[in-house]
Amino acid sequence: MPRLSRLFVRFALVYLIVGFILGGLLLTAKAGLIDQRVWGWLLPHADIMLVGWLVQLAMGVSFWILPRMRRDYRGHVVLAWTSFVLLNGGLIAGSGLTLGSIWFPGNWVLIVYVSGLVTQGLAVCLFAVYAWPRILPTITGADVRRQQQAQQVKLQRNRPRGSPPETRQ
Amino acid sequence: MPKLTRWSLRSAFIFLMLGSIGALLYWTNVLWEWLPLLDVISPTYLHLIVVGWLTQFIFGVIYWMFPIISKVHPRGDTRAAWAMFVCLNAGLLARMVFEPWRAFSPNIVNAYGLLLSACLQVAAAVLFVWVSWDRVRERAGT
Repeated sequence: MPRLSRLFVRFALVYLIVGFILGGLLLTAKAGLIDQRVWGWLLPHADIMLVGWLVQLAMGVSFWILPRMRRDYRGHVVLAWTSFVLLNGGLIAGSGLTLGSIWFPGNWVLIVYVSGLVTQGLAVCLFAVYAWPRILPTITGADVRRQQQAQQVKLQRNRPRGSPPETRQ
Repeated sequence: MPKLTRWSLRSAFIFLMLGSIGALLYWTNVLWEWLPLLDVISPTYLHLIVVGWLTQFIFGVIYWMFPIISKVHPRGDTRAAWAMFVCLNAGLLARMVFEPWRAFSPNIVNAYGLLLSACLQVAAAVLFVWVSWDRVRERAGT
């Protein structure tokens, strides 16, 4: 698993715990056992679970297992790294900071939350642009052999008449 | 496919069916109001799908397919993994019972039932990360 995938998956696992803790607090608030102001964390809970956990895990795993263009070449990885930074920046700014809304309410919450969502959207688009060329048919050993045979047949057809057949070194 | 994965995937599909039935009942009731009692099954049905199906399915596949730690202990602490499975499913079942019940008629039993469900689900998430963390590695261990 490449380093960027490990980072994506580990961050996703951390967001999973944070999202579940927020969800647990919301459920406890529903039970009427804690301060009802925690309902202000409903949107960050949804964002962290959907984007921080599910989308980030999918991005990490797809960076790892999508077919490579060539051996050890995964395309423009700078795009994927930028997407990772933007996604987590957007999550920390958008959902992380808005957790403070229950202590410091105000208009800033909506502005920060929406800019966080926009950054996350940008990150996802960037990752889609990165991953697009890697959506390829899988090349198996049989495909490689078939390609080599076809190449050999083509070479023999193009060989000038009377010249000796090509032998393998 | 390890036994825990088989159990997780089967359980995930059961939650997918329950969640889908819940969604169908809830949204047909929103449209036609044929049984007002069904208002109480939101957002339980949504969590059955997102946690019971999607997250549990992902856990089963991660447990199965991520690089192994070593040939002796390929998937780490199996007791923690089984504890996670029990906590997640018990937590979701508790939620399935107590959340609609509390929306319908709040009392102390369903309040503590919801607290129990929350604790079980958080414990499941922590165990999930505990079990999976070492499996996020460059290559399989020997």
